Amino acid sequence: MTIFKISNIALGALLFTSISWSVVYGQTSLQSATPAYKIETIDIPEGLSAETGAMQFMPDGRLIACFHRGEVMTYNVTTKQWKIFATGVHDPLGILPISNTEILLIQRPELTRIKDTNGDGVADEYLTVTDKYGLSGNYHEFAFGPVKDKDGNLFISLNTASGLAGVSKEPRGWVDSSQLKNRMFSAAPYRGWVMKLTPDGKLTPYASGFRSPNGLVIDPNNNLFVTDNQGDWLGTSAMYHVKEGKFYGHPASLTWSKGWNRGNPTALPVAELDKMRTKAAVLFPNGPMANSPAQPVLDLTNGKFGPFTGQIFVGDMNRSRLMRVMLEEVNGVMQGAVAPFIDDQGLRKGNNRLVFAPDGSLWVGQNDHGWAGDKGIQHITYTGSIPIDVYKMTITPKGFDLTFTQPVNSETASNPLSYSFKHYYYEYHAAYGSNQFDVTPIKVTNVTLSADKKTVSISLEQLKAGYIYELNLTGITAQNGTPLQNKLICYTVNQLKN
Amino acid sequence: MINETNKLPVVLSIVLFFCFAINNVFAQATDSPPINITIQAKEGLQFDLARFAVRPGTNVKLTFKNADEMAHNFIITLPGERLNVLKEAQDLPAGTAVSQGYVPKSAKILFSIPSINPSESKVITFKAPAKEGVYPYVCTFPGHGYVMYGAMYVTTGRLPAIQNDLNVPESRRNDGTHDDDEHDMSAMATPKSSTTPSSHPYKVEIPTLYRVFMPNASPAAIAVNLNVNISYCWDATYSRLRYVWSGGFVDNSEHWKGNGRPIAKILGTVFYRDSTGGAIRVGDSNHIPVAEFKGYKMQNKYPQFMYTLDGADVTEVITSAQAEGQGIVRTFTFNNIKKDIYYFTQPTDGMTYSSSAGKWKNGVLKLSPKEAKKFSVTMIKK
Repeated sequence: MTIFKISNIALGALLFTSISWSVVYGQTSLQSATPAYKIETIDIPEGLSAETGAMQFMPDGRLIACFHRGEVMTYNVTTKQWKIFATGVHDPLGILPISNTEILLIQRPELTRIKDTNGDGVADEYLTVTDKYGLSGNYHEFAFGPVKDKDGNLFISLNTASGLAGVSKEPRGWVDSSQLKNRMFSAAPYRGWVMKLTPDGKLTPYASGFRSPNGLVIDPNNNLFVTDNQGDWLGTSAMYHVKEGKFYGHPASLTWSKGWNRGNPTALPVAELDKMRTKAAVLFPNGPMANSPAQPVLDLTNGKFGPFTGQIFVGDMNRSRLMRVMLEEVNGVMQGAVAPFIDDQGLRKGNNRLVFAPDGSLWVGQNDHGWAGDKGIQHITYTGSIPIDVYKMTITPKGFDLTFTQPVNSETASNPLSYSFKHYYYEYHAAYGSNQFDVTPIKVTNVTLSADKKTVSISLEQLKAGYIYELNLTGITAQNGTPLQNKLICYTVNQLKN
Repeated sequence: MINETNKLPVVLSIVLFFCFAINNVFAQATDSPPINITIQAKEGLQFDLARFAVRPGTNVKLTFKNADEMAHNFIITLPGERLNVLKEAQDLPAGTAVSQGYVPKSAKILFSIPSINPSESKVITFKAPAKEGVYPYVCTFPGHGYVMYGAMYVTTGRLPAIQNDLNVPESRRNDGTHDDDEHDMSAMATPKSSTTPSSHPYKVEIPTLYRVFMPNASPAAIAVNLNVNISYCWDATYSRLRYVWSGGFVDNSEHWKGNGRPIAKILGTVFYRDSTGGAIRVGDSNHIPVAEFKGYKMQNKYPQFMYTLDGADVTEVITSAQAEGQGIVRTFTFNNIKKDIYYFTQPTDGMTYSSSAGKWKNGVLKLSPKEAKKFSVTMIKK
């Protein structure tokens, strides 16, 4: 059924595309082709407050999702039937299916293995996989993950606590009360850490310096990426390439470093903390790009979801938008660009969770969780009509190369005025967020379009490490006149290329 | 939504027409120093003041404080223009939006404070419009404006009851926090129960289990409702029963409402609290064993807790005592135990105990390894 439906859509898209071609032919028209992506809204069962905490696919193709009030439900995408799988868990925010009858689920107090042992479709076993981390009782101590690497290790991340509220009289784990006055604090062990759970069941602290790490993904090369939300010590939202033993900037978590004897880490000189930290692979400029990025998901659909295989999609809680992250390794350091992907095309806000279905479509789980956002689930399908978009942005010794998803109009693409660059940086400091500093327009000195009309090489007057290069594109169109979908792209320069 | 909005003028005009009394939430319209109004942005995308009222032409000194953990702005719009202003803010080019603090340049805006960060505050002074009306205020930071708004009433009349006031967010109409003196007790008379069928996409059946923040327990608490009249709180941090109550179950509505700061409320009366530090001792009656929680299995819909005490495997199922609402039965198993097991009680805990095995002495039940393989303790209110 599903396959039939998709080929139908694809056929329609092809027909439609050829029609628009013929319309465009005789006239310079900006008529857009069939949208590359179709968004539909999934019906939610009555009585469910669909604040989506996690979504994954079971091996048999059923969607499994969990929600704020503790429900875990499966959804048969063919029959559109929802079924209860488990209940009563505490603010679950992550799922990893093990089999058609068994999942791992992270809830506030623990990572739990939930299993239907008698085959009636409803779980009857909730086994604690690990609860070897602290719970101060502060409401902001969410737990995220797990994701699994090639070696069978699981990774979870632990949110810091909010200074807007205190801690329980009976916390689990030792409470460092010197932290309670910090805006976001780590009073109980390993808050603000990414934790590694080895296959033999041992939970160890892996990397520190996180504030609100609401999203983890591991690529096929075992690279772990974690997103984090703008706030204190985090000038703008970020995605980190996380490695063992590194510190990523929010100091509260340092309390729980092995052998820590320097008191409240947030009281250390900023310059010292700055030296200790590893910078983000990609920054999401607050405002233009994202306010609160959530789960990243890797496109491994081999084209079923369009031309962006190998890239990462990230949702945002505050905007009706997804973002697309294009990474590259320069001098051994991960960095890259981020652009809006789906923007105001019928997608709701609160895009907390993303998962690719076996058919290559993308499911989006929404959550407001007391913040901005919406509830519910939407489903994004690639129609087969190639979008006109920046496929990738890579750094060169002189500037950047932009490769488009299809050949572009030579005239506008060769015009330096089509590319408006500025650079700026965010300050690392204790205060909430950061202004943009040293905001400077950067002159484009040369633009060359490749013979296949898909890549432009842009030379810039100046290129500096430690800056975000924000590019706004104007006037670029496909050869049929369709305007570029997304005109904003921001590249985080950690390393220059020689 | 559209229907509700259409009802508004009717509701308002009726209320205003019949109410002439002057309400003390009104600011005086004079040329004397401005009246002070403080509005805080607070967690859960709310203004602490869902509405306020001033007389036409009053001088107002408005302090906007950001007590939340994210940035917010504050805009007062012309009557009926909240959503239009929101749209204009959304349509701002990215760079402009940031530099203007998400405040569009718009003729529909009366007064505004661009976005401020947590812990910051800003003051504006203005003269309230001469024209009576409901002037919405809203935060237009991306994503906030559909829920984060309120109403400035410019009027000499009275305000409608807040439960009927469509100018305040729905969540504020029935939250029991009335900001004027027109309290309608009927809205608060009925307790909100979390276990109404509408809380979940399934019919809530007893027994029911929630892992939830509970009072007087660690954050890893488990609340279980055994029958309509009896519930208990079990603590996974210590693997032990904490307390038992009769009456209703729990009200999670506040805990669920946002990001989880308010904890669950007990809808009933606690009649037993454990003060033994955990009733069970393994081998040594003077040593409180180290517990490790392993999870639970559902046995005829009742959770069977699994844990270790000083390394010994234990399971525990709690069911209602036959005298409904009067007590519980705790059934334990100890597999492969080679030591005596002790079950401690407190003489002052208000309960009468009996057991399926072992010997009681001075309120302590002693079981041989063989007896401890499976035994139950019944505890009933005195």
